[in-house]
Amino acid sequence: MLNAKPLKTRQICLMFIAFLPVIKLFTLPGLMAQAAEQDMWLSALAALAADLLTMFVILFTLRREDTDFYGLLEDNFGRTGSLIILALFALCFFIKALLPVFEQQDFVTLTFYVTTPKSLMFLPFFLGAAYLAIKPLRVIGRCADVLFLFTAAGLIILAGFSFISFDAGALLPVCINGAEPVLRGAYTAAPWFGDCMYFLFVTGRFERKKKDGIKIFVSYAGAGLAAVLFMVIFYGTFSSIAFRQRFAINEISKYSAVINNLGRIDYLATFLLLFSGIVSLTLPLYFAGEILNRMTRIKNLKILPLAVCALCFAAVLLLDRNVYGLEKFITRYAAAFFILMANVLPVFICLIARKKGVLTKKHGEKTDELYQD
Amino acid sequence: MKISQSLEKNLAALKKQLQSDDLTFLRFSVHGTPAALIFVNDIVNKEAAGDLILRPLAALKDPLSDKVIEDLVLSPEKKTAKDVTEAAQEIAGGNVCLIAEGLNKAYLFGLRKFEKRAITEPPTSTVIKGPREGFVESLPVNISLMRRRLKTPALKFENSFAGKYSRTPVSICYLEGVADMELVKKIRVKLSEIDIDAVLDSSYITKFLGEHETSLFKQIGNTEKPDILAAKILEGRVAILVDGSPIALTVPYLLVEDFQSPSDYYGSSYSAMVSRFLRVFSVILSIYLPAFFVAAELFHLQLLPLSFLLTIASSIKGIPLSPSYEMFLTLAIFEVLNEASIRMPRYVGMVVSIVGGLVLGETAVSAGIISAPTLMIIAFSGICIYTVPELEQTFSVIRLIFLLVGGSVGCYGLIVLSAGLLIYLVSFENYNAPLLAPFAPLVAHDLKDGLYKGFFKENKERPYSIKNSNRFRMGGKRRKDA
Repeated sequence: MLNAKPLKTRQICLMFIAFLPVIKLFTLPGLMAQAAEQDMWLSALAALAADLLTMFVILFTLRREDTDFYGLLEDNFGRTGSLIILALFALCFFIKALLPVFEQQDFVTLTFYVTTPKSLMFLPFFLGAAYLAIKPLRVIGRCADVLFLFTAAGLIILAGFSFISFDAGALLPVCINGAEPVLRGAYTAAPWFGDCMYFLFVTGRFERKKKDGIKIFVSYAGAGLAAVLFMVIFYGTFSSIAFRQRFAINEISKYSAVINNLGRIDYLATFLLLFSGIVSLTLPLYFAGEILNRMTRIKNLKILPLAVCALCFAAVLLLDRNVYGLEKFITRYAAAFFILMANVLPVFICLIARKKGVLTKKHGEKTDELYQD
Repeated sequence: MKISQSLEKNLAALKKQLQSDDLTFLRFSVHGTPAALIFVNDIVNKEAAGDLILRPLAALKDPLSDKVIEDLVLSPEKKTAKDVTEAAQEIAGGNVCLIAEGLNKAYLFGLRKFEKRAITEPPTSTVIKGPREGFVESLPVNISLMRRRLKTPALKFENSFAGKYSRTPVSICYLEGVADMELVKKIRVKLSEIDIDAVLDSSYITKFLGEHETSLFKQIGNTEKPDILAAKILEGRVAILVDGSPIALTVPYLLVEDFQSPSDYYGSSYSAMVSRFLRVFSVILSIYLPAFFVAAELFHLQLLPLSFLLTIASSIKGIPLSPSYEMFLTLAIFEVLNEASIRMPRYVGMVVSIVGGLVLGETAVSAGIISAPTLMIIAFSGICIYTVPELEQTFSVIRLIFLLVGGSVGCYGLIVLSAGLLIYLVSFENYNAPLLAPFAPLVAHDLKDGLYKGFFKENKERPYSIKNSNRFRMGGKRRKDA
């Protein structure tokens, strides 16, 4: 039953569907509406296009590669070089986790609870994140096997509720202010997009057959397009006041007649998405912990992932009063770092690896033995 | 101590080890050679002992020797012991022991006659259509029930004993050519490692077979019905039958097994499918409904429709307890009633049901201690949980934890807890079989017998979730030797 490789192609595809759209549904639509107004969906499309290009390069260049990313880095950049690159990725994953965690914290506090202390409320989340962080990679694949249903159901229900109030005219005219707002919006979205980084760290760790690359590419595109579609409906519903909606997921269906009659039953869809979202939020922390494990080659594989989760929890408590400042900093300045790490560096690494020719599999196998998935 | 050629010495040694009033030391002589039969009075078929051992020996014309015993005594179960302790153990186990002057071994004849219960329909898995036979406490009877269903030399039983004092016969049962032999080997080793005073029921064995000692979830499958066990063995599982227990164990175990009912296979696929969805839905309701209701009342009133909210508001008016305490109290009353109704004599059970269910519930509501919606939710949750009776204990504990979290952290807590539970369940494996298979990992082939119940001929292959040696169970590629 169990395979040598921890994941299957199907699980990679379902991981994209289950985890990628959810993170983009909280504050991102509002922020993008602020940056690009009715062209926000084009901004999302542009960010997605950049990701798809990166995915294409990764899938194409590494199509015959059986070595995992750690081995690949070491083969091409040596131990020191790979350590520097991995440290950058670990930092990137950590920051990538921060903003959605704050988002979720704000979302839950403002939507559901006003008086409960945040530290108490988020301790269970970090305990859950820590629990997942010490599990093997196949657990994430198995979670995706189940959670894609929740994400799909949540998105369909929310879209169904909000479709009645959707006005396509609000999205027109397209690009009235030129390409600048679109690009600004895409730049703002960079910390939430760039999920091809995850794929980079699972290459060589799943059974890849012929044409599997196409399946992965299509599922990534599908997951991204689901988020874009959500943004289209969002702007079509709120039009010029879209930027005032802090949490799109919570607001998008509030004009539905069904809700007026039955209460906020759209929250049930929100809960479904939040369920996937919780696992999705822990992904960057998971990979940050894993990278640190591989960098240090520590024997106890639990310490560093747990430390990463604890650090994130501490950061949440410390930066609690400066969430908006942090958000501004990340979307304005750190976004470039995300583009570099998610789109530029992976392409660069893959092209270097491609240029050097077929790699030895020694490193990959050695690492796998040390860190059994 | 070795069995010596002196009858007196052997008898003295055996008497020393078997000092008990229910033992018989029957002395007699065969052609002048002193001999003795030793057995436990009430567990031996004395008639058979007389016919098969004493009568042929009485008619003997030659001196008593090993050859004579082997040729004349035609007991179907016959073995020898060269050690007094070994002989004493066999006697305590119900065998008849024959020792004689001049012979340096003890002959043991399997002439046990235990009282046993009749084969009846097990109360835990009744069916409207389908076989009604259930296992009983006698291992030989249970083996015969299995042999009756699978008449093939490929059906193997490997017998051993477990328990230092109980020496309970345990039998590993599998289908050669279908079961994974690595799994059989693993179980064999696990059983041999059991070091315990007594195995009084098969549940004792589960504690040793399970790979996660502290887990709340079941790790070993079980059934009381031979037809179900035969079906499981045919899927490649390995069974463990324990003498003294009507419950057979199966390994590996998947959670979905307990959502499948025997009637699903004897009736129409459509109704089976509806029933399975209903079972899953009921379990989800039973766990989430009380917690969700409390969370909605305490933290998320906007979740409830206005008219429903007004109904609740009027019903909870004047209730002295907070929603979570009220739900806890009602759940506690329900659990007490449940516990009492299982253990009390049947003739007072009806009275307790009426007093507990109707009088207590009705009075508590009219006295304004608990509200009607709470009572209704707990009652519904309690009924729902019994749609999967095998997992009732596990789900009861989970329901309690969910209620705790729902009452203290609200829906967000419930979501985090659900995510944690999911992570736990998907990472849970026993004997290399993932507990949540075929859903996580998704095994598309096995979904045909998951929640969806495929048509009979769709299931041409054995489940992929369980490792087996022969994939096909229907059609051309079946192994001819099976």
